Amino acid sequence: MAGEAQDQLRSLLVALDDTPASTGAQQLALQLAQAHKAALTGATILDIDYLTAPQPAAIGTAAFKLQADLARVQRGRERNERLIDRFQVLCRSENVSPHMIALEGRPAEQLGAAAVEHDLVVVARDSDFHGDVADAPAPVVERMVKTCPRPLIIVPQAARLPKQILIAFDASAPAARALQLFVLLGMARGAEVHVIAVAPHQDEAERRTRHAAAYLRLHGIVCRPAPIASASDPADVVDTHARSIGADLVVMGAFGHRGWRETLLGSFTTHLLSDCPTALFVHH
Amino acid sequence: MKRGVLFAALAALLWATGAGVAMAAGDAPHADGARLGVIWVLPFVGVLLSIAIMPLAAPAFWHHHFGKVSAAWSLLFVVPFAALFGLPTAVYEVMHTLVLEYVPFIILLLALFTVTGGIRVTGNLHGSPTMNTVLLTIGTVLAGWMGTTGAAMLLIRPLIRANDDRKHKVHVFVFFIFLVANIGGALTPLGDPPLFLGFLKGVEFFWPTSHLFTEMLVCAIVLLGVFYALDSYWYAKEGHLPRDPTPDSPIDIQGGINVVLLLAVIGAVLMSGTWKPGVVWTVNHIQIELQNLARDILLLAITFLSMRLTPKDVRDGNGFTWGPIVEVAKLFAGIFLTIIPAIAILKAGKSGAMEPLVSLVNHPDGTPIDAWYFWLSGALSSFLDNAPTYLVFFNLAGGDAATLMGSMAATLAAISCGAVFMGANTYIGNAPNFMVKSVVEAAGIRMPSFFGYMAWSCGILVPLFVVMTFIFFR
Repeated sequence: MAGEAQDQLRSLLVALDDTPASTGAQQLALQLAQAHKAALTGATILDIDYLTAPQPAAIGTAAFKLQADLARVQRGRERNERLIDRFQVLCRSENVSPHMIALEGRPAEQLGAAAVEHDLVVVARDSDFHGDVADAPAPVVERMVKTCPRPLIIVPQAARLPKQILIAFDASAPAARALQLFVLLGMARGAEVHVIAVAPHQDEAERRTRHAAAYLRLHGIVCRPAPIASASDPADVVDTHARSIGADLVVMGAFGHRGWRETLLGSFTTHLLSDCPTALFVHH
Repeated sequence: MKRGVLFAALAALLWATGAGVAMAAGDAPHADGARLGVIWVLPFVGVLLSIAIMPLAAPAFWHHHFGKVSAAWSLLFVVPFAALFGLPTAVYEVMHTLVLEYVPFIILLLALFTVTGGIRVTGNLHGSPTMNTVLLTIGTVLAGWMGTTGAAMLLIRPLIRANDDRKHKVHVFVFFIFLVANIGGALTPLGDPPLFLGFLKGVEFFWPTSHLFTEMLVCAIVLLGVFYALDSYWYAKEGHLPRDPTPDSPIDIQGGINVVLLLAVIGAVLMSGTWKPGVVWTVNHIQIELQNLARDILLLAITFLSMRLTPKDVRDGNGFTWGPIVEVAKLFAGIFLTIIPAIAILKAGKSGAMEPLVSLVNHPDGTPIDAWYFWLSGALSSFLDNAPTYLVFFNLAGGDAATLMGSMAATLAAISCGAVFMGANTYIGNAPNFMVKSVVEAAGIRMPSFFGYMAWSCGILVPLFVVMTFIFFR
């Protein structure tokens, strides 16, 4: 169980949308804010570029496009106002007073810029902020994984305050940074922590879990190591293990630029975002 | 030395331009297409590509400066043309196009746009398969007489209201574009701008009615049948419907005076095609006939009356603005001017610079291959405006209205059907397609993407056009 790690989670930013996973994201953000006594900010995003994107058009139709664009933007604003109202009602029911911001522009860039004022960003895995449910992972979420300056929690539809946390550790710099931020933000509080390392050889897997466990111990967190020797896709192994222990949260560094092999197989992060049923704590 | 370089440069320029010179034929100094190089088509291609590409590549620039771009391409033709072939030839060609084609064309579009934009249908119907099919049929018939744009804009809002409680309704609007925004326009010169250009070139008013009727009927029956089957399937699948947010209410027509004015528009155009008083004024070799002048004055008067007599709330309810007609006027000015050399070259036939195209669409003995005319005019009309496309193929087929209505009637039918029907293939093939898409989307309904729409047209229209080729244009 987690020990007395210093809790630095002071402020959370949650991106509001009306997708199924967005319900989970808002619930989890609210629970985290309560558990950590952190400030909570809800952000709506109006993707003006998307709503007014250029289209092939025939002669004499520019005025019609303008009218359609204006109607789309207006509907987007009305939708965001509804999202804000709904989120405020949800927060008030839990005696939390959220701060609200209405962002306009490209979602990943706007959320990235707003994230600088917060410790953690919570976003739904199927949110593109275009009024539709995107196939997970939504392109906006994939982009945020690469560009967000703060750690992200990417949430599926069913999410709750983590009780079982799985740290996927491959000893890379992104994984080490994600581990550190996870610990410093006090995310392990009240949860059982597992560390999994997947390597072709058992001794290498064990060496990785030892490193992660040592760092966790430094912060008073006791973990259950799971070194696994396997030549399979690490994402499959992590996914299977997460399901077997009933993990609520998988912690990982964001990988994705490993050359041609990643291009063919899809990145580790994308794989887990698509298939893993649990929330992911990711830092690039 | 300098003079030598100058002569060499001039010689090179004359070679590149085909060394074409304006020839005197009769009284009028005019461009001799047989002696024009293909480079003269560049401004025409430029203006068409600008219209196609710049709204995507530089939307903000295009939005503010499309008129200047159109003017720039026009000058790129007119200035070198005047410099090389003389001012009188250039003035004649420009005046001929503006006075006899561009101005009447814009005046008709203005009148139809103003009059049909002053009619508003209120009330709500229930969007059952039968009602939707009836609405599409009415729209198809109306399109031939009030223009595809007018019919589409008149009926799209009632159609949206009728189907606002339907879950699956995108197909209703797709078939509306097929039938009302395109295919229905085949019956008269008022139906679709290309046919009015044909009328201005001398094609009789009722020639499309008599010669395109069977083709249009086959298309309409097949499409209405497919629509009814598809709509019935979705209607049944939706099962128990939620409460209709806009319950059925009686239909009412506001701005009814415009119905009378629409009949006056039809009468004015019909009059100019049938009344031959023989009164002609000649200005700079351009013959202005009394009946055509009377038509244009009448159409302007009808436009004025429509503006005065239509209640403001009717136009507001239709979202009426002058934006579309201003855009049409600016861009078509560029098209009509830059198309001058293209038409001259095409008229020259096998002795012109577009001999390969002429050979492609004709048998070795010179007889036309109608299937080529149908598919080429159609393919271009799918992505470019169908009015200049019609003009190009009209002139490729010789450009003589009497011959085209007589011995080459099948070819003119192929050109007309290609230009009118295949405008339905994409959102950009015909202006009302995109207008319908925009109005539907403004109502909060998601329409297919550009390629999503093409999947509908490739799945339904293209096979139909293939079958039509074997029946009508072999």
